[in-house]
Amino acid sequence: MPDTRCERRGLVSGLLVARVAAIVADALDQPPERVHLHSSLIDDLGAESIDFLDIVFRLESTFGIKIPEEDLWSGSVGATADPAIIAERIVELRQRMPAFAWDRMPAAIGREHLPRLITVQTIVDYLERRGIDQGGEF
Amino acid sequence: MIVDADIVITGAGAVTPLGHTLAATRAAICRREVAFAPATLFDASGFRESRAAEVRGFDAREHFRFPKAIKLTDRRTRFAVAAAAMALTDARWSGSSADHEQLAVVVGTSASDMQAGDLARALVSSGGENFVADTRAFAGRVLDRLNPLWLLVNLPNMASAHVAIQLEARGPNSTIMSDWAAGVQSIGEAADWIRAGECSAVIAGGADSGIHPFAYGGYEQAGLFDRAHDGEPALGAPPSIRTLVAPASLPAAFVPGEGAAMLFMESASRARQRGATVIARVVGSATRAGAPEPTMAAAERVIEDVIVEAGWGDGRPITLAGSLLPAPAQERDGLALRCGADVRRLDLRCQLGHSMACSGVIDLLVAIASADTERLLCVGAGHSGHVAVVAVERCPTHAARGAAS
Repeated sequence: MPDTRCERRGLVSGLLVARVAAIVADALDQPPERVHLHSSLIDDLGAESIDFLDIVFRLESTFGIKIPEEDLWSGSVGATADPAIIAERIVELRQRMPAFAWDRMPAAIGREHLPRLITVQTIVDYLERRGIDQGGEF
Repeated sequence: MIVDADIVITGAGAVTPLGHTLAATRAAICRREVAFAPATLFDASGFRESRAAEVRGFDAREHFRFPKAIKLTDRRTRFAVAAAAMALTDARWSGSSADHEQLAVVVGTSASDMQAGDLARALVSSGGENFVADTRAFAGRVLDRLNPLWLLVNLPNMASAHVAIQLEARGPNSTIMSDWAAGVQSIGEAADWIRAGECSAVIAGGADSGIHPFAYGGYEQAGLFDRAHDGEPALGAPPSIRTLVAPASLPAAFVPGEGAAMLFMESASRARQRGATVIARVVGSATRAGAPEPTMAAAERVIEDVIVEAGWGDGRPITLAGSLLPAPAQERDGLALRCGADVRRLDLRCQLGHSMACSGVIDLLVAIASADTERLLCVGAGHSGHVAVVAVERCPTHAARGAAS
């Protein structure tokens, strides 16, 4: 029997991904076909710091939430300055995001490199942690 | 210290309600087309004048080296970048990196539309409370609902900033906001910069968009929508000007407009060095700061100062281009006649609408191509009393002066 809850969740997640990708594409003036789940907003899509202000505002307006600035900058790694914890979470990220261009990153990824790890997946994961997985404007 | 006193115009570009290029605009003007139509940028039905001269169907993207920056621009900035890019192309200027350090920008403009729609939505969604006395509440409830980029879009100096970014103009940069005189004043400012050795070339002109609720509210309070705009040519104007200026059958009213008109200016010696085509020479300029009420006597003094500076006291024909609102028609005609023995009048607001800080510059560009006098006097006069005048001599052969000597 098909797991309808998983299927529903997959559908909702797909919608969320599409919505976030559209926001990112519009904010960064990129054609939609260039915005992939694991595209680095900075390295692949040319995002600058000012663009993150714009993206955060669009996400807040679309999903009716407030996003503290540090939440997005730290991405999936979280707001930690502990190098050991960062290294641990990078290992987890490598497994969850195999399609990401890890070869572009330095061998030792520090806190200063975290913005380059922000992808559409990063934003989707964040929104889902915030409870944006159903309902909402989308 | 004057380094090079002979200043020339070697390129021009414009975006107007009658055309997205200078050539298209001139052709439409000669066909006597009128850009007035019901405003679509906002609902102007509550004002005495609900029409506007809008730039329609314009996509600035092709003129932006970094298209992502378009989201940081308002309408007048997009017009400014496009017109400036076209002026640079028209000038056939391809400078070295060092030349780009000497390329300056000065744009005359006025207040932006403040993205009135977004601002209104933020105010409405805040609950409609009175935030006048509670700035903290205003910041938290209203500003929080505006995109943080909102301020960057609406700052007046963003037009000149984006022109510089997109065209790599790394020289001096300035924004002039002397009301409707600003665009014309920028031309005189640019000439002064080159003469003083501040830079070797300048992109100068006006860019504006006066089609938004705040502007219409101001025009209505100032009574501008109550006055008929006289689009008739000055007394004694020859048939050649009448073909450009609207005949009596065209509407007479103050209709807000928008657009941008930009010039590429440099010293005559540099133009000769690179074999540039000289369109015209800037031979005089002057400005007068605003007074509570504009006075024709003050404008007359500025015009006379410029005529003396240009050495035009011999009574040869002059075309007077630009806006002198809100003076009555008789005063304007008298002023025109006092400027010289034979003054022709060119005022395109009856076709293009009033493009605020850009007005005057557009008239100048059209006059350079189409007037039948060598001498052109370009006037920008603000309803707050600012007056700017520039004297320009056309080069009908469009040949570099070096080749002729």
